Amino acid sequence: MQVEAFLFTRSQRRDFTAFVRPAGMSNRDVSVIASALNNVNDVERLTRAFPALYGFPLGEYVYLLRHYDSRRRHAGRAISVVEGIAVRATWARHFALAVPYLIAHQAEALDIASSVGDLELFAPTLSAAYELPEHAAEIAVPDTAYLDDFVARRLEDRLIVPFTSGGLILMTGALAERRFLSPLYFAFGTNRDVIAAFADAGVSFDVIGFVNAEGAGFRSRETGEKTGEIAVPVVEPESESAPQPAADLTAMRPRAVPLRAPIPPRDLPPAGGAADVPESERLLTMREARRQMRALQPVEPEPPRPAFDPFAALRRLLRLIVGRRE
Amino acid sequence: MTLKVTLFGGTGQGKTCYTLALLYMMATGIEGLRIEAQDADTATKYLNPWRDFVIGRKWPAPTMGRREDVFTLYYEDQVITEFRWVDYQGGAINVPADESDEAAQLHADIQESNAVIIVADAYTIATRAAIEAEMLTSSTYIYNLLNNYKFKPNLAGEGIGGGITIALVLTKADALPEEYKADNYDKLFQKTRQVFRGVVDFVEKERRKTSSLRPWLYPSAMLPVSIVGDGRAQVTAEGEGYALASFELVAAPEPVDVHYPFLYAIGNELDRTALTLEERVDDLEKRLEKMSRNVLKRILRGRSIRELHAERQQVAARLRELEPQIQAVAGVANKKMRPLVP
Ligand SMILES: Nc1nc2c(ncn2[C@@H]2O[C@H](COP(=O)(O)OP(=O)(O)OP(=O)(O)O)[C@@H](O)[C@H]2O)c(=O)[nH]1
Ligand SMILES: [Mg+2]
Repeated sequence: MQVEAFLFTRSQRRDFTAFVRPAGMSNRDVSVIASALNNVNDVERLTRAFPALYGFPLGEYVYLLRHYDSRRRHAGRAISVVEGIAVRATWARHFALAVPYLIAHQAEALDIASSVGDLELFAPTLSAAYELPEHAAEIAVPDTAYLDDFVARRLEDRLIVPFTSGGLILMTGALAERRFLSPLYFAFGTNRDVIAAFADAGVSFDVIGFVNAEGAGFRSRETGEKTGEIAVPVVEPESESAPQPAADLTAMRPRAVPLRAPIPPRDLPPAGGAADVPESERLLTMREARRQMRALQPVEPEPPRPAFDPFAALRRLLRLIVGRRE
Repeated sequence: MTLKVTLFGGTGQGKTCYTLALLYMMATGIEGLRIEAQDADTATKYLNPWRDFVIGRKWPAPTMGRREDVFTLYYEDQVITEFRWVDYQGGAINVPADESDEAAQLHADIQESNAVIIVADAYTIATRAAIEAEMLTSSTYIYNLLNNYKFKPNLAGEGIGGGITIALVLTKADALPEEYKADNYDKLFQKTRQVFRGVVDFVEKERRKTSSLRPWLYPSAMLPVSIVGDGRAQVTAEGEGYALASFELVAAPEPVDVHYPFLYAIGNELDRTALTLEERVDDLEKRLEKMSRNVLKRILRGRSIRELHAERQQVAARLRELEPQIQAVAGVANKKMRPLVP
């Protein structure tokens, strides 16, 4: 299977850029992915070891991407990395078979960043196409009942899973299921705004792992209502590969930061910001400026009105009637 | 009526923070003015990162791509205008349009914008060498874009609609060294004028042509703002090279002055609308006067005179409706903003 690579991130010098991209990927496609993933504010939750994962078709390609915090910072902000591989749409079915294996080996299969070396020195390039061996993978799920269910209701419902190892197993189990007539597309480690942004660009998903979802189940594609529940497999935390439990805001304990130094009292301008300017310095609007200009300009005397000559009008009327021009 | 407001500026200058704070502040209303998002989902898209900022003390993530949404500005429950608000990844300014969709979009957005809000980091302007601040705030690129799409009269159009309102937002003012805050930010304004001298020179040159209205078609002003408030953020690392200074929030944020540049942009564009209407009234009056002077035309064109009268009344009514709104919006902001050209 011929694949091409994709790497989207930023350096200090360069704002977010597709440093590596498939030859047939347009600027527009890059922008769709970037703008959609821009809706993830807490990138720190996504790690290299347990990243968000996306599989979807866009433009000429089908992508398998991971999204995580690079641990590099710009102006103190977490810089994310979006990277992975893409195949031409003609390979979509082959690719779908390989995806479960690739997900299980995401640490190597989707790692593009380490192949480019120092980003500050790296100039954006097109990816060469390279051969990827096709491995299919069997995923052992504890209970396959949800797969029978999903095969039957896929057109009406989406599979929703939590962003945990258990959720990942449920999702990958579904991706490895051969009975689906067409490949399943997925977003794992995401939120509603990302999904909505992708939907605006015509990309829809069959399996979604919401960062703040608690359990697993089915939800109607149309109404979003819950239509079924699934037990999430319990996974013994294998050290660091298991993510933190969903840390939505209700669970998040705001970090109490001690003041390093007391805030010194200061003579603030009134209202804590810039002071009002005196009336004489107030900025004029366009019309006020024009009024002022007009007031300053000498008034030109109106040209005297021609005295009314009733006969002139009559003469013109006559000319009109006889059809002669002046 | 929909106005298009494009927010742009170099990376890390504070565009996203400014947007979040502005929409939060205006969601509940200030001095009778209020912003409403087009739908509830749009509102949460902006309020959620703001909540993470206030409670989680976490700055918003650096922007990838571009975000555009439609909002409505209300004054005492009257719709003043819809506006389209666009926030970019700062790097869109300094890459060629054929290399990035954002860059291409930015060019188109500036061309179509009624007003631009330029966001520049006051802390960088104050603490870095002027020439470095120029690069970090992207002021040269900004001038370049405005010059190409808005300043050249052949491109922008000679008419009243040809101009643009420029509001320069000087962010992170809370962190400024005291000397830059003194005398109502005098030193900051001086250095800003130096860093943004391309734009400043343009407006200044236009101003010298006192006989025409054209200079006034480019209302331009600046204001230092902060989304955190004085002393509520601390520098954790100073800027160096390409890196900007990093800040840490050390107390609950209290945004300062964020709404004025926005109101300035909207208010002056409403004023431009009113100006166009006034011109129309003038024009109608002239035509009516000419017609009624001429007996023959008065006889032959009774109907069109009536039509012109009706139109004049309509335009005048629209103007009367606009007047209090302009007062409410520009009246507040024009008192606070400082001129780009002294
Ligand atoms: N002290 C202080 N720091 C601020 C303020 N506003 C922004 N910052 C700092 O500036 C950084 C960048 O702000 P953003 O709003 O993300 O910048 P941006 O212009 O959107 O940047 P890009 O998305 O990369 O184009 C923040 O992470 C803060 O560290 C402010 O009012 N005060
Ligand atoms: Mg931003």
